[in-house]
Amino acid sequence: MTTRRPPRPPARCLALLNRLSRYIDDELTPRQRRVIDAHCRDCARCKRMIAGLQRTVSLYRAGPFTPMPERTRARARARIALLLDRQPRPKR
Amino acid sequence: MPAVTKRRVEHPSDEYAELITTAAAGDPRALERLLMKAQEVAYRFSHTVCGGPSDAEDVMQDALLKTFRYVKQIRDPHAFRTWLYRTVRTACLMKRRRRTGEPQRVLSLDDLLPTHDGGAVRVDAAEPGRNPEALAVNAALRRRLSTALHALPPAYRTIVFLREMEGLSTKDVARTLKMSESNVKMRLHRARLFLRKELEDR
Repeated sequence: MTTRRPPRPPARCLALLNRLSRYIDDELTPRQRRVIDAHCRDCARCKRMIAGLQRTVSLYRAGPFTPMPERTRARARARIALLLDRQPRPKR
Repeated sequence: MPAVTKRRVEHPSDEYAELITTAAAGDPRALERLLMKAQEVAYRFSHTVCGGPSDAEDVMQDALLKTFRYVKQIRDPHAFRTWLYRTVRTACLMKRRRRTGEPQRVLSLDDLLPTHDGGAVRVDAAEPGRNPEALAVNAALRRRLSTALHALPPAYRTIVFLREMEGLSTKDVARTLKMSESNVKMRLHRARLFLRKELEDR
């Protein structure tokens, strides 16, 4: 059995797709932004796509999602203490 | 439509540069802070990119010793941050070299196209608070974000980690990974499309 791909979005949407990261990072020229804004007024698909990308980026930027456990932090501190203890003391 | 909120920059390069300069001048507190920061970066990288918690301690130890040596032979304090990420990445790759089962493919744009209605990302963080319900929602969210991130091929995951989660500039990511800025942008874009699709409400 073969799985059928969903129909491709229209060419106009595909042409804008590659610019969407630069759009949400505010790296486009005002003219390029206006083109996308104008397109999104009539295209719910691209509007949702941009909102989804913005939400995704915000969630990853809000991290961290792997906070260091206190036991690991204690071991990290112990390693530092051991390393610094081995160093010769500066002469007075 | 407004541009996305700028990422939180918790570890700006200048903060590292100041710390390493002070540590090299003989301030023991600055040295301790720097050595702890190096291990924190190693821990985050190891967990987020390499996905091997058992490797984290070795990678932290490696980052600690190399940072200590770096301070002794200080060259360019402003280059320290990218040097640290590159060092940690190399240590992680060495540990992971023969690990199998990781997605290694190149992300094709065809696989990342939006669904008929554009899809919707419906994951939400609970209101910040200490109540058990909010903590459970946030724990579930973290798991979902982590699962989506680990479904990415490692080369793309590294870029998401450095750019979005650690707040490096495109230029610094390019310098860390020794690739062009345009390549970093292209890969980041594909990674974002992939993650959006993974987080989409099905």
